[in-house]
Amino acid sequence: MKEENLKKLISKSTVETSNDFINNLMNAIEAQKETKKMSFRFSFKMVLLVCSTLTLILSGLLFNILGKESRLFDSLTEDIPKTPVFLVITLTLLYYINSIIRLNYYNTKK
Amino acid sequence: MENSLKHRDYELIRKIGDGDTSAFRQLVYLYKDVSLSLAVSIIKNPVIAEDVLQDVFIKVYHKLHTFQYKASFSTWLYRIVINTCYNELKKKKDTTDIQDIRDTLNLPSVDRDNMNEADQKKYINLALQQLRADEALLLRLFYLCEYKIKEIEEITGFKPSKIKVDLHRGRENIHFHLKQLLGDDLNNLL
Repeated sequence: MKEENLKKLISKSTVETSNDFINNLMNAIEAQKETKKMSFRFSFKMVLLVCSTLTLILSGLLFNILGKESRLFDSLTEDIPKTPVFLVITLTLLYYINSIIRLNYYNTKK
Repeated sequence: MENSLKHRDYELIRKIGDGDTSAFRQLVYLYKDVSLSLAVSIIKNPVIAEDVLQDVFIKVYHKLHTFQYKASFSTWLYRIVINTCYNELKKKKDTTDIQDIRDTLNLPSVDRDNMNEADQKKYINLALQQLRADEALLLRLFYLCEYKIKEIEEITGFKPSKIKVDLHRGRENIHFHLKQLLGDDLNNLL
């Protein structure tokens, strides 16, 4: 078979996609994006909840220990000032929240 | 011409990067049919090939930010299409029965003297589907996409000697299969 005939033949061999190919594709991409967002939102909320609960428990426990008159920790607890400890805990919590918000920002940008 | 196509694609890719999904729609529209033709060369079954192509375009959408503006987009895309199809073929080892292909293509019982273009297309595709994956793929890359041997080497990763040999075999085999399918009516195709 001549080269030009073959070229003519093969040029007729394009296989066309179904009519709704692009729509199906775009729907699939949108669905994937939505699932990704949903799973992130869920984990975002979970992390936030766990961090806040842990910080609350930790600060509660610390204040309880610091407030008690215990023989074992008497000398130690008297020396620890309450305000700086509370400040450190609050700052840590704010740092957690900031990291999560930044993560959320990059995720939505993607 | 080639350069303007390249720049058109680059422009679309930049728009997609800025979050313009209609640009992606446009890009898919431009390349979907040739991509499917290449996929069918390897996978043989058009229905499965279309499903694989959906996955390819989803992959492309997510990986588009890794595209480097050196090569043409089509070369990059077809490389992904071909690699994904060969991987799929390895996974399934699906040897599609020729009867299945006949069913999918819905071969007409036509008056071969008066074949219209759609009927001709079906016979050509059936003949191509009876070739080995590499042969059919190389024929399409060479004659349909009009790539040179060097470009085909870049897309497929095949050695130039293999490309030349398979192209030669492909030419002979497609002629043989068309002759088997159409007999003397083969001349009506040309």
